[in-house]
Amino acid sequence: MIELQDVSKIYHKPGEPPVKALDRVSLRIVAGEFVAIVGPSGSGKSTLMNVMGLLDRPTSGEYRLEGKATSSLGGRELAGLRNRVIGFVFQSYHLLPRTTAAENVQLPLLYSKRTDFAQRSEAALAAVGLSDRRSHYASELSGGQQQRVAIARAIVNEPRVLLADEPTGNLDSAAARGIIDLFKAQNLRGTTVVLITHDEALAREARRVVRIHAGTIESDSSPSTLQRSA
Amino acid sequence: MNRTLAIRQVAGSLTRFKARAVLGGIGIVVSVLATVFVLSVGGTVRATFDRFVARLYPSDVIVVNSGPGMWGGGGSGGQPMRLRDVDAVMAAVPQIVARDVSATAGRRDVKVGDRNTRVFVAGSGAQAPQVRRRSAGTGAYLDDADVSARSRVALLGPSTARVLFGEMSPVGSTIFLDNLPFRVKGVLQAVGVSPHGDDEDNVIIVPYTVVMDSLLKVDYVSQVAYKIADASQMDAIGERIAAVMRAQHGITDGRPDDFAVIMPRDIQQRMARSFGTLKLFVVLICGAAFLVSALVVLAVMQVSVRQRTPELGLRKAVGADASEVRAQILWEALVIACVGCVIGAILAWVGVYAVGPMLAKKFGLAGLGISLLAVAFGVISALATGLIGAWLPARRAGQLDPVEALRMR
Repeated sequence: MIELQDVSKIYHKPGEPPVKALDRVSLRIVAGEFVAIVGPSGSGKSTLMNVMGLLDRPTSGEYRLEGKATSSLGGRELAGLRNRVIGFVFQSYHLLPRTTAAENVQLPLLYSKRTDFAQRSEAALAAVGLSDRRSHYASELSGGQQQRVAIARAIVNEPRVLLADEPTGNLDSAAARGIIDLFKAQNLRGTTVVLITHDEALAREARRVVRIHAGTIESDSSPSTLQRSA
Repeated sequence: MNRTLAIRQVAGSLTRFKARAVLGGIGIVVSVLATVFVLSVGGTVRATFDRFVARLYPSDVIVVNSGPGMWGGGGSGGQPMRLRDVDAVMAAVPQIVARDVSATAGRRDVKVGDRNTRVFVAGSGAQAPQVRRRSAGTGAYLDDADVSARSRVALLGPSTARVLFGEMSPVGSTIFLDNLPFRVKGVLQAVGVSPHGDDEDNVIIVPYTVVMDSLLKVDYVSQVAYKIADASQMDAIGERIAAVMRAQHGITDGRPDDFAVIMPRDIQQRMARSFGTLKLFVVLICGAAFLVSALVVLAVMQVSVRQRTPELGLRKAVGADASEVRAQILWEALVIACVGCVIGAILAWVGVYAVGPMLAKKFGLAGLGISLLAVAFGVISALATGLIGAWLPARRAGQLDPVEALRMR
């Protein structure tokens, strides 16, 4: 499903020394896995998620998504893959203000060819238990509910990979529990889930834990890795 | 891109940021309002002027002014145009079928009983209706006998008749012009207000011989209009008339004419040039208004893109490519422009119909209405304004790095 081979990411800012956010990372995640990527802040885990989510291109190395090399793909093809294959969940939800829950959930469908957006957003909201909040604005929902709407938005197009960056970072433990259960439910349906977190307790919920530090993989609890970090 | 959802999204974005949409659209409303209003009224003004000029200078009439200026007068040392000059032209140019000799007396006091007013008095001849296409509405026009006998007879314009006689028919009554008695022969056909705002129905016509002998006490006339049979010979006949006039006035090679031969084409060209200059200014002013509108749209959309950077980053994350993000911004600007267009055009329509009766009364503008061409011009300019104004912000939005964009709060 996800295959990174010697992937490095170096940020160049004018007037500053280059920052190596990822240093020859190799990682393989097969379809249906539930992986937690754990590391302190600044360890490069968000960069790793951005690369895996095709939001950012590696400086060197190769990234294959579903067996397809991504380095040669143009902006349009990458956008298409983000739309069909990947679902994102962010720490700060990123819901559109003054827009209903249902309309927020429909956002990815705007960039797809699907026409059954009402049924799909309804099903996605039902999956996160918020059918009765479909006409509520984001500002009228609790933090936990907002993150559920964000998850409904991430799954509305039935992606094969869910990438979540600190999805419970802004939530209390009860709300966080509910969110983790939703990810587990999605994983049980066959969706690959990659959870980025600095929270050890949360990481223990995953079947595989990849530890990242200073841009390299420190440890990988699963035998499916091809860890060769420098 | 899913069209139904896209339309909803654009509408949603605009309603979420109403103040911004209104601000962005205000310039377009004003520009469309000004453009549609000015072009619509301008078109009617032009048509009214064309009709006015066509009446003063019909296409089969050559006008000769006494004095070298195009509008008569001017120059000194030359001879004025006398009746013997007119007779010589008539004798030498057989293609002339009618002539109207004018001698204007200017504004004069006119009195009937205890009513009095000041009216523009002009001298004319029996053939004027043929040449000028304005005859008596009631009663009779002047005839040759009136001219040769210097009869004190007069035709009143309808407005003058109303002022002096009310609803009574003035035909057969006596009026006093500069204290001289004149018998009213008839009332002229109504022609209304000139584009300059003069009431052309407030006039008195008397035989030109009477103006010369009794009112002005001169031996010359101010203008003669010659009607010719075949308009295709216009240039040759004009040349011929000029040649006769030069011979009459003893003007030899090299000396300037002391008269002016005015061809209807000269007047039309002059009018076209004047309106061309005016139109250029109107277009420049409207263009400046649209330029300012484009800058307003640019500023508003620039702020919009900056404030919505995380949203645009999110759109990219969920599958929008650069062109789709660009399209979102351009469509928003286009919708603002469209709504601005509709409001501007409606305001222009209301404006034209509100001031229409006033303009019609004051300047004789007939058939005042919204010109579809003006609306088309306004709409195309407004849409172009929206697109041009939003182009840079849209490009910036399309180029946003989603990672950076999502990080912004």
